Amino acid sequence: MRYKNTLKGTRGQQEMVGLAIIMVMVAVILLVFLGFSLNNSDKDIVENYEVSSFIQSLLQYNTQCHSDRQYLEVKDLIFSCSNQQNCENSIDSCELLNNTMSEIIDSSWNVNEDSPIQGYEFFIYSNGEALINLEKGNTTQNYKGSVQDYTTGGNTIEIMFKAFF
Amino acid sequence: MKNQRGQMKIQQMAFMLITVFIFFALIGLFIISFKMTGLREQATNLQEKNTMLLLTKLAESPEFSCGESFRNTKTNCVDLDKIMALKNNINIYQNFWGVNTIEIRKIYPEIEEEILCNAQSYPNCNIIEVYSKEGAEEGIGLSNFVSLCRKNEENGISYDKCELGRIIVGYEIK
Repeated sequence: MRYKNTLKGTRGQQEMVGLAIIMVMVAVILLVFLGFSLNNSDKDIVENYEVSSFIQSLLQYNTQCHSDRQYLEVKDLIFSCSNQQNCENSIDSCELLNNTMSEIIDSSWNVNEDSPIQGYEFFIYSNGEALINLEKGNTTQNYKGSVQDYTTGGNTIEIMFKAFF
Repeated sequence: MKNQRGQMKIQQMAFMLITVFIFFALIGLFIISFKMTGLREQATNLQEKNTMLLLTKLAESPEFSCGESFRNTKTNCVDLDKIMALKNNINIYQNFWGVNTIEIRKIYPEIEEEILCNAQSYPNCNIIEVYSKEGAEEGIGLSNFVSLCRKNEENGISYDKCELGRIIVGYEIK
């Protein structure tokens, strides 16, 4: 009788251990599933379209450089600078281009320690030669960038912008 | 005695079955609630993607685009004069874009304070509240860079003036 009771007790214990193992296994599977689901965030601080739209909009900005009864767009000012032509209102085209680019980028991309944007690089090349080279902040492994090039009057202009985050 | 033991066994099994059922029911509830949250998140993500798509094509839509109004054909350009006219007739556009808000902010040249654009302050202002959905709760905003172009006048001569701005589209969190 005592032997029978001990046997019963052992079987009961085995069942309990079995249930506990199943519960632990299910809990582990749920935790793994939860972990995978929570890690699936693919949102970026800067989107690709933002960088390419920025360059596009930047090129259409009307500067203070007066020529042919119009204020030149950045796109045309780059050519003036590349060809070393000054504006009709006696403004140095390259100096204006450098200042305008620097001001526009600083107004558009807030680079500081508290900001998600860590730094930027901006280059303008004319026939492979650097016309403008602006850099600020830190360069990191995460960045979004865009390149635009166009040709007029034999000059090939390449504009490159990278935002680091 | 045998009957009693049998009843005990049946009770034990019933109790065990109820425990297992409750355990799996709890797991089921957990999964369902998790899936429901996932569904809401998916709906918000979908809304975000739609807003992004709208954002990239909004500047090219007839209501916003510069079209042939300016000297050079422009892309990613918003005609501010057109926007001011649109703002006055915005009631026709309720629920047209499927978003909560559409706002345009001038970035460069910078103006120190925030000045809302209306018939009196335009063009010396930097914020245009183009559209706001009636009764909309606060949501999330996505933005994109655009050229903000208008006709300007100097010494009686009209010329194109394009500045840099951001178009901000707000959408609802599901």
